[in-house]
Amino acid sequence: MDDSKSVLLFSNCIPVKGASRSAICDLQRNSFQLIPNTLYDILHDYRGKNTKEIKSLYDNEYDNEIDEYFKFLIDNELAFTTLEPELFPSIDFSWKSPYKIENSIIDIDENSCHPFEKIFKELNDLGCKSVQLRYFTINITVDDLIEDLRPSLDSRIKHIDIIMPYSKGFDYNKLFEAHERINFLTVYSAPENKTIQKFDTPIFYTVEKISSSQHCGIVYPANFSINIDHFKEALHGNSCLLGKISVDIDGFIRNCPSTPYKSGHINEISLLDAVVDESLREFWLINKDQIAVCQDCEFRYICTDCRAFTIDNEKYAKPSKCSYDPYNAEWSNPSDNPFN
Amino acid sequence: MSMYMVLIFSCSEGEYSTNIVIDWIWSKNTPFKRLNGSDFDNSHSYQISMNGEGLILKFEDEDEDSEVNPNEIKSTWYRRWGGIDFIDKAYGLTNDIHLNHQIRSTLYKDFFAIKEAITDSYACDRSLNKESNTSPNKLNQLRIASNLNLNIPSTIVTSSRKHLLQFSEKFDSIITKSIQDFAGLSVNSIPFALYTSTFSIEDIKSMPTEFFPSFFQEKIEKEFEIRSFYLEGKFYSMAIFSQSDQKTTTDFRNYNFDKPNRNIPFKIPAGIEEKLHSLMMALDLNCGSIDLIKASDGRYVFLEVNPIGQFGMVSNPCNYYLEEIVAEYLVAGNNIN
Repeated sequence: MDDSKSVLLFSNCIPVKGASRSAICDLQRNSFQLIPNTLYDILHDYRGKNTKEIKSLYDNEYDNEIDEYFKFLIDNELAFTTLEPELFPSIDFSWKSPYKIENSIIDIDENSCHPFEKIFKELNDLGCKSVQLRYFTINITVDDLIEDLRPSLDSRIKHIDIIMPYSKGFDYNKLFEAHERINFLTVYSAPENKTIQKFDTPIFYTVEKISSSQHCGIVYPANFSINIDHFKEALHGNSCLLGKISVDIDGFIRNCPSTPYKSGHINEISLLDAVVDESLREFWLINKDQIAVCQDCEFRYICTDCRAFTIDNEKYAKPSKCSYDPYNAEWSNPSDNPFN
Repeated sequence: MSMYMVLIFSCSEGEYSTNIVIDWIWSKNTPFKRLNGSDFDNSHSYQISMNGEGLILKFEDEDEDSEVNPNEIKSTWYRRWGGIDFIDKAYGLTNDIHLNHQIRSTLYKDFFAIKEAITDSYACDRSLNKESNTSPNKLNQLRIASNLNLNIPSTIVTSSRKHLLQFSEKFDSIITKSIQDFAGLSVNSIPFALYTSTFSIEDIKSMPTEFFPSFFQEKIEKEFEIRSFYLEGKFYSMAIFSQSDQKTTTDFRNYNFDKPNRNIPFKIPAGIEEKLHSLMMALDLNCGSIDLIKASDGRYVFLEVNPIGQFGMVSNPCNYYLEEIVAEYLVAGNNIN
């Protein structure tokens, strides 16, 4: 290798330092590579310096190790060599949005009687991008679903996700024809785990029973989001709650249906009033750097946080459904470990 | 009475960038009107009338309030138009192929005159691009770029196999691409895109001695490609490392989805930016996507500029928020009286 060149990480491969090791988050290829903290320090402290300079900063005692590190980065297409590192600026990860709300969850059970007309109109006025409807009912007919979603047709909402119970002979085609914005459908209590790709919208069958808002907040590597949108969101605020406003089964407005704070009832106040409620907004901006344990974790900007289920229900505690210990780099629940 | 201040010409399908720009305009509380080319097809009722103030466009299925009055429009964005294929589908369906062709080409001309009248009448000082210069002539672009001392690949247009052979012998490899911007062909409803392709010696030998005049260039060995979004003198550039992947070596649009090319922010050296700025001025473009190659020998080689190129593919990976920058340009017209 030519030591007069700089070995530069592609600026969408971001090293994140943890207590015992670091991760290079590859935001373009949706993956991560674990690296020792010594390599993190070289990449972080000496970005842009050429290999010769870096080696001499270590008094040329570790030339072979440094060569080996850099070879690993280049072989894995995480870095390239250049004589002009100044022409490759880092990505500015600032987060901004034209929307007053990013996403929303609406929970529905047998007893819910949500004013969907009002909800969708207000979500539209807030510019909400994505809505997830979670049906915790025993059964749901296609006509009910089409009717619930009807007020979304004239809105600016871009994506609709549905979580619903399995129902034999359900006419998915009719649903997708009526509502083209549905881009994700999860069917629980299904006879088997499988993905149906017959329609433009994929359908995920799971045998699991998703019966309430308690079924949420699980943090493990299979659920990591390794992309630029998620990453900048996690740097800026809460990777689950930023710009989120939800309606629970009883019609109360919350951050997410599982969080304890209620802003009011959907029949009494509008979502536009709720989004200016400081007690609700507070959670939008809690990022991982403020959360105990997570702040020392190399995965902190690629996992999805949860503020509803935390250790001892503390506001700034680690999510209770995460089994990773960054100090020992171990998962207490071995099935979470992506390397098993 | 609603007042539209921003007018956007776009198309209804596949225009992600327009949608995001509109979201940003919406967030800045500025009334806008989006006109899609398909709004003018034969399934819509509309009229264009002239009064003392100019041309008034009105759609029958809307209330009078939503007339688009040129005097209210403070800024326009000519993004695209689209939706002209209705002419092929609906008219000239006689049994005489030649007559069909004459009918259609007459209707196309009429329709383009309508389009021109509409876009001209809404022209204002604050306009991002205009209908008249959105179909780039790559030959003119190369000529002007070369005059401005930008590097360009050696280029010929020829109809002669002999000349093509002589040209190709000077280089390791040559490429061919369309002379003007070409969206693609549809054969039995299957879309075919036209990519830049290498043209081998076997390809040349398979050609007849004379053929339709075609465009050839030396193939530049690249370190990486550059796509730069230009707006009013500013450059937002991205390096595309397409070289390491066989699939994308000649044209990065031939995407490899499993292992995408590395796309990262890049800063074009100031001297090159100055020349590109002069080129954009000479082409009378205040917005566009510029394609360059950083050659293995260190040169920056200009390929082409596309006034209506997709910029989401630069905006997202580099986090430039180009859609907001476009929206800000348009909304700023709001303050001009």
